[in-house]
Amino acid sequence: MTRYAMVMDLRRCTNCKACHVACKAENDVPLGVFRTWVMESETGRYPDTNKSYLPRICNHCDDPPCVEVCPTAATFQREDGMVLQRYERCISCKYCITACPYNARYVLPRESESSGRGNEHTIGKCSYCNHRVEDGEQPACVQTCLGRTRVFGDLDDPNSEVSRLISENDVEVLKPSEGTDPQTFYIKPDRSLTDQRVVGQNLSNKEETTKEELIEEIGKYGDKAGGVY
Amino acid sequence: MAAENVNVWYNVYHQAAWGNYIGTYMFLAAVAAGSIGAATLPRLFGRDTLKDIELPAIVVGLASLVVLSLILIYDLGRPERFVNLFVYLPGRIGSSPMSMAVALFSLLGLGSLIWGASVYTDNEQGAMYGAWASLVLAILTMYVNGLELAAVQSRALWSQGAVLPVLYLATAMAAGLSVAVLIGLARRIDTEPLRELGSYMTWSLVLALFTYGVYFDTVAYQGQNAAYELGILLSSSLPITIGVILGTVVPLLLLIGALKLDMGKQRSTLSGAAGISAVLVLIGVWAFRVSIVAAGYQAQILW
Repeated sequence: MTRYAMVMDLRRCTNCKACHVACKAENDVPLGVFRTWVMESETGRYPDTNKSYLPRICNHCDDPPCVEVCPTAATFQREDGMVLQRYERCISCKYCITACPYNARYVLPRESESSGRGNEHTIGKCSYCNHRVEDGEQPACVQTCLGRTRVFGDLDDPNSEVSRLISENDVEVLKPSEGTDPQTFYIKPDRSLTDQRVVGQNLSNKEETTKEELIEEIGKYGDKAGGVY
Repeated sequence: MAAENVNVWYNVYHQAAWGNYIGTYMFLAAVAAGSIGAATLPRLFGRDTLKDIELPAIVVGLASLVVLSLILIYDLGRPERFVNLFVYLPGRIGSSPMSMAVALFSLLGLGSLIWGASVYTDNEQGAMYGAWASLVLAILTMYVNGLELAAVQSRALWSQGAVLPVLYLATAMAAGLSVAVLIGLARRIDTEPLRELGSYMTWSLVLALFTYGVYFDTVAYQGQNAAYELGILLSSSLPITIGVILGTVVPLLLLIGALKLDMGKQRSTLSGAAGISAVLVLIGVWAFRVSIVAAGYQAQILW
């Protein structure tokens, strides 16, 4: 049995947005809507600020609420876990958009290659690039990811990279309280790794670093530090 | 990955899915099921003095069903495919609340059409069967209408209130009785039947007020992000000011004044109080439904 899933290693994401572009190009996703995107957040107070990136995608949940509420069974779940859309059945009642806690669905503003001709104004979503996966390839966003943030594979295969990453790391899912059992797993960014990379060379001979020293060092290397978490 | 201590989010927000059309559809569903329910009073509950409202209330119910169907179809992204709702109905009715609602609306329309036709042709037996079927279907419709929102776990203002279907039921009853009062006024029914309708309406408003209280209490104390969710709900003045105060409390006071404090001994005072109350209740039911759809959709969309 196969159960496809994705792991996002947030330690590696640089917000290059190559995944956006690859997804748009592969699936002919129209302007203004996204199957995948990278969310950014800014935290802290100057000068102790932080920037985080969170790649988003349909979670292809094990218990997908969008499938449950669809009145025409246009949205369905395959045995391998992929939650897909039958565009020709969709009446665009938007119940699935409302039911999805992850904002992963959208109304197609025009027809596209992936939806098939004449299916504008129906509901679009990530398909895990099932057409590529069926040909033995990786989804476009995974294939193009420069930092290898995105890893896709079979969760039921203990030797797959996704299984290994999940077993070796402390992973989280988005909004677990929704009870949807999402199958996109996130490895949280580790702040200490960042500190070591940016200022570690200068402070490596010190056993302890005060906050002031750290801030001073980060200031010196501000350009390097910019954009990293 | 909780949203703590975040100054700014840069996120993608897809367009809002449900808005005023869905809120208005839910209001018309309340009017349709409510007036069909109120129309059963003379035939099924022996209130013969209210016989004059039976057929007009059925007609109002059917007209509301037609209009709400048109609004729903108009709101679809692919309106010409609405027939798919019926094509795939058998497989989806156990899972999708929307399919349940479609089935109930269709049956309610059919049942009340048979009932109305039987009343018009003096077919007593047909009217009796039609009235019973319509009453059961109307109650189920009021409930399932709320369930359409309550089944959506991702929107806290809908799902946290397990009471929402009950609130929809109570307010739909109040809306239906308001329609009955307005029909009664239009048909110039006697003072006593009008007092009787006013009395039913008063009790339905007491029930509605109670369920409003339970609903706000549930949202405020059981939500995961209670303060945030409640803030979103209260950011519009529609639900509280118009829905609860203007649409429930004010009519309740007016009716109590007219019925219990003998201020309504004169026909004109009673008519005025009942008429104003009925209009306010209908506006309140509309306002609450529209705002709960819009605010409920916004809650938790942040990330």
